[in-house]
Amino acid sequence: MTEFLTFTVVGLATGAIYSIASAGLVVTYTTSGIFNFAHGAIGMFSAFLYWQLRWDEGWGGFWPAPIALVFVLFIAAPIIGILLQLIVMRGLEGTSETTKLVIPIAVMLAFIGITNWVWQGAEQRIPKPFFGRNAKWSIGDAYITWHQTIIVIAAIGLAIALRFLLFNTKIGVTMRAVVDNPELVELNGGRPNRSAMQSWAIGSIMAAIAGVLISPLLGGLGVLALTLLVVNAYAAAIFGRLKNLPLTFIGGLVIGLSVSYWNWISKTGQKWPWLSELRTTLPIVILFCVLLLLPQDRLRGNRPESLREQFRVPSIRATILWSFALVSIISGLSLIISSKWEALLTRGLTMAIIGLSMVLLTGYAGELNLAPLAFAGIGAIAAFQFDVGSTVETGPGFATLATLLAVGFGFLVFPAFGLVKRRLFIAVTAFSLFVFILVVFFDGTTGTGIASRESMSLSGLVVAALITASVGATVALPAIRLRGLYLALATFAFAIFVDKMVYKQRETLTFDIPLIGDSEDLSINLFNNGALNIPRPKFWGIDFGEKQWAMLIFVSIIFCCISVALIQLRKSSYGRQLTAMKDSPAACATLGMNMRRLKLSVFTLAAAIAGFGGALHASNLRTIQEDYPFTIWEGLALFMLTVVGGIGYISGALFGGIIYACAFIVMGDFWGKLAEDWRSFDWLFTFLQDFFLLLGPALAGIGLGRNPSGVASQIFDGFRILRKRENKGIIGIGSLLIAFSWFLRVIDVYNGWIFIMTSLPILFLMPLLGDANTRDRDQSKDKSIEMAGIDFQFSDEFISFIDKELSIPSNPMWKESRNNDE
Amino acid sequence: MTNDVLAVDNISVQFGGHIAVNDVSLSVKPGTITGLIGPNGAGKTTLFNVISGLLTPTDGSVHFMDQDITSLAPHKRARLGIGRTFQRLELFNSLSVIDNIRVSIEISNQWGHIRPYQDEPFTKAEISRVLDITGLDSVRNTMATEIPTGQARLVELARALILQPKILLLDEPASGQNDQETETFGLLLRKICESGVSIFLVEHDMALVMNTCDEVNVLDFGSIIAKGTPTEIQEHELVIEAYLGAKKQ
Ligand SMILES: Nc1ncnc2c1ncn2[C@@H]1O[C@H](COP(=O)(O)OP(=O)(O)O)[C@@H](O)[C@H]1O
Ligand SMILES: [Mg+2]
Repeated sequence: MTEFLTFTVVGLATGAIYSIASAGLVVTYTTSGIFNFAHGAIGMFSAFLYWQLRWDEGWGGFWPAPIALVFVLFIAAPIIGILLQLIVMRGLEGTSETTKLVIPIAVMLAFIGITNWVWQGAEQRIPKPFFGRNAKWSIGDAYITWHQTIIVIAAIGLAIALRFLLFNTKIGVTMRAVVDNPELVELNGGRPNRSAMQSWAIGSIMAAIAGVLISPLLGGLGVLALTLLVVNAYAAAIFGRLKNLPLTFIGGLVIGLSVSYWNWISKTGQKWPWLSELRTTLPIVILFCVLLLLPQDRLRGNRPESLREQFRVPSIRATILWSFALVSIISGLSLIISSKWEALLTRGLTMAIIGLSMVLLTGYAGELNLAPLAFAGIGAIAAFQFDVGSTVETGPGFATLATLLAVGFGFLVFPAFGLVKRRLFIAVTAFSLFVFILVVFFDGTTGTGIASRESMSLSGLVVAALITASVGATVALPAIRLRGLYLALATFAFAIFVDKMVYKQRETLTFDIPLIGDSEDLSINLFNNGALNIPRPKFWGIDFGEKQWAMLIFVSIIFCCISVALIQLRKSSYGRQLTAMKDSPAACATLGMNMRRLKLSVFTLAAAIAGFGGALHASNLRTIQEDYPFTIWEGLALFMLTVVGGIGYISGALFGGIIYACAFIVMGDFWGKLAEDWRSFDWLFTFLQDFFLLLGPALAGIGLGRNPSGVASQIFDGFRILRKRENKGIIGIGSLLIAFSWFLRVIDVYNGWIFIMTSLPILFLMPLLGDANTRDRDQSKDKSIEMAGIDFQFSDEFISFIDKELSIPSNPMWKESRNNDE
Repeated sequence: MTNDVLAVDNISVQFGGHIAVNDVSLSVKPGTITGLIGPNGAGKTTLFNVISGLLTPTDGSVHFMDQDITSLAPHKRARLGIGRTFQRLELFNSLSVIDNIRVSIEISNQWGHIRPYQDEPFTKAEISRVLDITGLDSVRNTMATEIPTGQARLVELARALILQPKILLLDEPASGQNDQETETFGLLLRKICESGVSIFLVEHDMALVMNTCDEVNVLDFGSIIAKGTPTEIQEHELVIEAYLGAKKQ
C-alpha cells in the first residue's frame, strides 16, 4: 500500500508536469494552427536558464528562487514566445503542411544548438527541487516532497487560470471559436495577430514552467534528455485531440501514472532488462497508440497552397545526363581533394541516398515521415546482423529469411506497378529467386560464419533493404490511416522508440522461430553493446576499405542509379497515382483509389531505400554508435535540410545530404582555421565557428524552409538560362576555364583553395552573364509582373504575355478601349 | 425495392450543433438528369459528400442500385459506378490535363480492377474520345493549374466520365463558364445522359437546370422544400420565396 501510494504520488507529479506542458501546446495549436515542435526545447532552455540564475556563479549568480522564477517564467519565456510568433511563426499562415512542420522543427534544433553553445563543457549541472531534497511531508507511510506538492498545486492553479482565460477573455473566446468552427473563424478574419502573440506567450510560459519543474527529476541537466522529457507531453495533447484542455490534463496524468506504475511493476526496469528503456519510452508508445485510436479527420481536398508547391519533373534523358555530369565531377574532384574531403563528400552522398527515400515518400506521395534515419539505422543493424555481424545464427536460416522477405516485398510493392495475377506471381518468384541465389551462391554465405568475413557484400545491402522494408511496412500498416501532422507525430514517436529501445538495447534477445534456421533459436544482440563495426564492401578486386576515392565514386554511381529509377517511377502510372494522392486525396477516393494499399506500398519502398542507404552510410563510416549517426535529432536535421533543398526533387536530396554532411563542418573548420591564424581575432572566429557548427542547419531551416520548391531547384533555375542558344559560348568558356583550373590543380601548380577560389566565382558568374546576355537580346520576356508600370512600360506585347501567364483569353475589346483612352 | 439508380433516405448531417442536412429523402431514376437546387449553404455539397462517402451522415441511408452503401468506403462506391465532380475544384495540379484523365483510369485499374482498360490502344482511344466530347483536346498537354476554371470543371467531368460511371454527381459544373459555354455544356449533359449515365446535378444557373433536368429537387436550410418537373418548380410558391425571390432582391 505504501509503495502504491508512493508511486501514485510520483506519477501524479510527473503527470501534472506533462499536463502543464501539453496544455501550452494546445493553446498555441488552436490559435495558430501550428504544432510547436519546439515546445520541448523551450522548456529545456528555460530549465537551463533557471539553473544558470540560481546555481551558477556567472551572470550575477545565486538569485533567490522567487526572483529567478519570475524572470524565467514571466519575462524570458513570454519574450521568447512573442519573438517566435513575430519573427518566425507569423509567416507560416497559408503555407503547406510540410513547411508548417519543418519551421518549428528548425526552431527546436536552434534552441538545442543555442543551449549547447551557451552551456558548453561537460560540467555537471544539477538543479535542486524546491525547498531542497529533504523537504517532505507524509500521508501514512508515504512521503510527499514539497517539490511534488508545488507541482500539483501549480497544475491545479494553471488549470483554473486557463479556464478563466478561456471563458472570460477575448483570446479565450477566439480560441473556443476556433475549436468550434475553424473555417468560420478564418473566414471572419480570425487569428488576429494580437491574440496569436498572447497565445504564443502563454504557450511558452507553460513550456518554461514544465521545464523548470521537471528538471530536478533528472539527475543533471541534459539538453536532449530534457527536451525529450517535455516531448512526452505531446501524447497528452493528442489525447485531447489538440483542442480539448480538460482531456489534455487527464491525458497528462494518465501518462505520468502509467510510467510510474510501470516503474513499480518492472522494478524500474530491472525485472525485464530488455524492456528497461520502456521507462522513458512509454509516453511515446502511448502517443503512437493514441494517434492510432484517434477518430480521423475527413479526407482533405487540395488547398490553395498546393498551387505554390509544384515540382517539375525532369526528363529521363536530362536525369541521365546530369547523372553522368555528377559522377564525372565527383571523379574529377576525387583527383584533387584530400581524403578528408573525400570522406565528407561520401558521407554527404550516402545521406543523399537516404534523402531519396524522402523524395519518394514526402516529395512524390505527400506522406510525412520524421523517422528517415530510424529506418536507415535499422538498415545498418540489419546489414550488421545478417551479413557481417556476429550475433545471429546464420546458415540456411538466413537464406530462407531473405527469400521470405523478398516474397513479402514483392507482393506488397509489385502490384503497385501494375503487376497482377499471373504476372505478379512470375515477378515475385523471379525476384525471390534472385535474392536467394544472391545470398546463397553469389556471396557464398551458405552457412558458416559470416562473422569471419571482413567486407560488406551486395547481399548484405539487399537484405538490409528488405528487412527495413518489412519494418517499414509493419510500422505503416497501423499508421497508414493517419495523415499530415498526425502521421508526422506517429513517425516521430517511432524514431524515438528506435532511438531508445533499439539503439540502447543491450540484451540478447532469443526467439524460437519454427521452420527457420538450423538451430532452434534466433538470438540477436541488437546493438552489440553500443557500437557496430560495419566494414566497407569489396568486389571486382576493388577494396573500398582502402580507397576512399573508390568508395566516393561507387556511392555517387549508386545515388545516380536510384535517382534515375525514381524519375522513371515518377513518370510511370504508379508515380502519377502518388502525385494524384498528394494533390487531392478526396478526388482520388472518389475515383476509386484504395489509398491504404498505395500508401503501404510507397512506405515499404521508401523504407527499403532508406535501409539500403543506411547500410551504405554505416559501411562508409565503418562504425556506428548508439548516438551517431542515426538518432532522431540527426534525422530531423536531414529531413529539414532536404526540405530546404526541395523535397520534390532529386537535387533537393543531394543538396540536403551534402549540406548536412559537409557544409557546416567545412564552414566551421574554415573559421576555426582563421582563428588559429589570426590569434587577435580569435574570439570572433571561434564565435563564427561555433555559430556554423551548432546553429547552421537550424538557421538554414528557419530561413529557407519557407521557400516552397526548395533551394536546389532555384539554383538549377539559375543555370537554366544557359541552355539558350545564345549562351552556348558562355558555357563553353566557363567550363574550359574551370577545367583548366582543375588541370593546374592536378599537376600541383596550386593548392585546393586556389582551385576553389577560381572555379566557384566562374561557376556563379556563368548564369549571371547568361542572364544579362539574354536580357539584352530579348527585352519583353522575363520581366516580373509586379514591376509592370514601375520598372518598364506596359506594352501590348507584355499584356499578352501576362494574359498567357494567367491563362486569360486575350480580350480585343479591352485592348481597344485602352487604346481609345490614350 | 425500386428501380432507382440512387436513393437517399432520411439523411441528416450535423456539424457540431449545426444541422446542415435535415432528414432529406430523394431519388434519381435511371437515364434521367435530376437537379438539386437551393441557395448557398443549403446543404447540397454536404449531401453530395454523403452520397460519395466522404462524409458519414448522422442519420439515414443511401442506396445505389438497391444496394445499401451507407457505410461503404468512398473508393468502393466509386468502383460501383458513382462518379463525381467538386464545387471547389479538386484537380491534380501537378499533372497535365491528359494525365489527369489518364491517372483516373490508372487509379481504377490499380490492383487489376477495371476490365476494358487493360490494353493500351483501347485506353488511348477512350482518352481521345473523352477529350473530344468535352472539347478539351486543344489543352490536352497544358498543366491543370494553367487552364481557366470553366475548362477545369470539364477536366473533372472527363476524369469521372472515363470510368464509365452509372451515375454522375456534378457539383456546380457550369460556374466559371460563360453563357455560350453553358449552353454547349447543357447539350453535352444531354448526350452523356442518353449514353446511359444518370446525372445528379447541383447548379446555380437556372437556365441550365430548367433546360436539361427531368426532375428538380429544391433544398433550403437543409430540408427539401419542393420536388417536381422544372415547370412545376418554377411555379412553386415556396421555391419562388426561398430561392428565386431571394435572388431577385
Ligand atoms: N466541414 C464542415 N464543418 C462545419 N460546417 C460545415 C462543414 N461543411 C459544410 N458546413 C456547413 O453546412 C452547411 C451546408 O454547406 P454546403 O453543403 O456546402 O452548402 P451548399 O453546397 O448548398 O452551398 C453550411 O452552413 C456550411 O457552413
Ligand atoms: Mg456547394
